[in-house]
Amino acid sequence: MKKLLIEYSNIIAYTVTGLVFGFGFFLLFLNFYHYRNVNETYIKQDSEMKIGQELKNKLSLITENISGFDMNTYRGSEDPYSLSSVKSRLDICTKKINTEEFNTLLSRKNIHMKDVYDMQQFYQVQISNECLVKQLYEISLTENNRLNISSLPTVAPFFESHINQLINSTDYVQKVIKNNSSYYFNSEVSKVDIYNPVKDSYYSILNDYVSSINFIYDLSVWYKNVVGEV
Amino acid sequence: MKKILNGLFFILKWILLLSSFAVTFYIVLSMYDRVNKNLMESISLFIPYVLILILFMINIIFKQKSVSKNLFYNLTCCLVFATIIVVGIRSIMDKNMILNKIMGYGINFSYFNDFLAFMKILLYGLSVGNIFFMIHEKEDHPESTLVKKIKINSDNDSNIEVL
Repeated sequence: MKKLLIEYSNIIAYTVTGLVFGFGFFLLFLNFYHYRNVNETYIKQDSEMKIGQELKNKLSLITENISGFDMNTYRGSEDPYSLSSVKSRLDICTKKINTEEFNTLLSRKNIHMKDVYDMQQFYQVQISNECLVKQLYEISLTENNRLNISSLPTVAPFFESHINQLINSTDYVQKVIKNNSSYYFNSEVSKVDIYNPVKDSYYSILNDYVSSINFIYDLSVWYKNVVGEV
Repeated sequence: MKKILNGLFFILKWILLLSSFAVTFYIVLSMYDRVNKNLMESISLFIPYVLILILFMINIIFKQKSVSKNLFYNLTCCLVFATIIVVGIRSIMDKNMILNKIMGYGINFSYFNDFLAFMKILLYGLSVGNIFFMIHEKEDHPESTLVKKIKINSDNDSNIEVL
């Protein structure tokens, strides 16, 4: 009887230890797999590196476009205070975007999920909040607009729809990226839903950068025309 | 070869136990500090560690070779502690997990918190395994076996030679 009990306890001991071994082994290698997925890298092509340079050139052109106006020497028909206000808004916008962080983000060759998140954050804070909402949204108001520029009521609805579209565009990316930080039993579905979007999210956000800077550039060209430098 | 491996895993088991406890303690301490919770509430997380430490001490004090010389058990212990350390290190060092950055404490508490239940299962499993391995037939000392043999022989044969 005693021998039987000892044998059974030995069997239970090996079974429990075997289960623990199996579960521990599974969790350990699941972690390596999760690590690989989370650290998925997208390597940019040389042609894509040019986009960053093009955006920087556009920002320089915006600065050039608005530099033609001088309130003291302006002799045109438009209200100089309104023109000065638009100039200062565009100037602040350009300075908020054209930073060291902006250059670093666009000059990265290897893109990790963290970089995509940083790009999204920069877009949300510097471009969307600081530039589009705080500075340019007031220009686009169709009612109670304090800026007295003759062509503004015609172009304001276009500005407004563009700004509304740009400030909402990257929200979903942030939600998807945040999901990479929980303990997942990885499957192909979670891989497709969470980890593969590194490349797609990067392009989506980069596209927003390009659209926003193009929009500010268009605004600066309109401003240049209003001032009469063309 | 088996003896060398056993010795190796036995030492490694202790090192990894202490390291995994240190990593867990550091993360739990930071986690509770962040949410201003009393650290006493986290005691339940460390009970399995204390239990396994007591069992390991018993194994050493009572020289239970059925546990301490069990290669499979020692290997499993190393694997479990290594898993806990890997998860802990990833929670601290894997900066590509976005919550690590968002939380702003340099530790992805969410990731480690999800693992706590598995950690308890693994550690309690090791404790249960250890207790069942303790139950074994008492090993006879080689000298006492010899005496027994001599006794049996002496009962059957009076002309016994002293070995």
